[in-house]
Amino acid sequence: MNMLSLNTYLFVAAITFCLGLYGAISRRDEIGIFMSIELILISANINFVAFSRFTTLSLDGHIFALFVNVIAVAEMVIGIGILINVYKNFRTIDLERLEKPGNQ
Amino acid sequence: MLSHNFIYSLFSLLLILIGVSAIYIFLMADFLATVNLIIAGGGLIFLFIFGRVLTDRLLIIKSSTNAVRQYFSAGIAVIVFLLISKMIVVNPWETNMPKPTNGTIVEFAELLISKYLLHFELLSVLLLSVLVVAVFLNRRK
Repeated sequence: MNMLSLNTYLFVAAITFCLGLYGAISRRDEIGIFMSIELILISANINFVAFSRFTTLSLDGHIFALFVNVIAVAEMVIGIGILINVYKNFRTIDLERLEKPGNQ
Repeated sequence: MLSHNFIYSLFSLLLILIGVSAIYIFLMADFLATVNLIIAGGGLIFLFIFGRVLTDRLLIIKSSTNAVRQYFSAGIAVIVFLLISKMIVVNPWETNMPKPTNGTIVEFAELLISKYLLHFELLSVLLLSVLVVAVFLNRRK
């Protein structure tokens, strides 16, 4: 069976991280930024699981990946709550237009 | 990420999540793959759709990004990727040949209730507080 090496997984995680970074900087709507943050967390998870597979550590990486998943979901819930309030006050979710309240 | 259509980027994210679950299965993390599919693939996508529908019109997307900002962030991302890949290639990782396992659930559960019990409880407290804060944020004044 042809096993992939650790470097392959690390490269996949690096690519995912950079896509998330690009999105988090370039997007302006808040939901897009949340998606990008989710991508960054996913890349961290891939790294955790890969290192836990290819080194002598046991399943500690899996536990950490589970915690990261749960914390990501919690963060998204709070973020969307804030987002709904922002939309109620400003009638937009575009982060660049939030400076002047009531002025579109 | 490049798309300005919300539905396109949402489905790309879903595709990425499914792919990550496949990677977990390759890395013999079967429980984590399942959790990832259920939580992320189900919950997060639903949450994004929910937030989008509640705030903005779903399909009509006004894209307000300018080209300078996109090139700037693409440059930053490429630079970071080059740095990370240099680090990956240069560093000699000590790997040992992975041992085949049949299922990680039992070992995972034992770790979760013995070594990481405190963290597990803290996580439940965090989820409770998130629930309370979400209700508090969106209560009708």
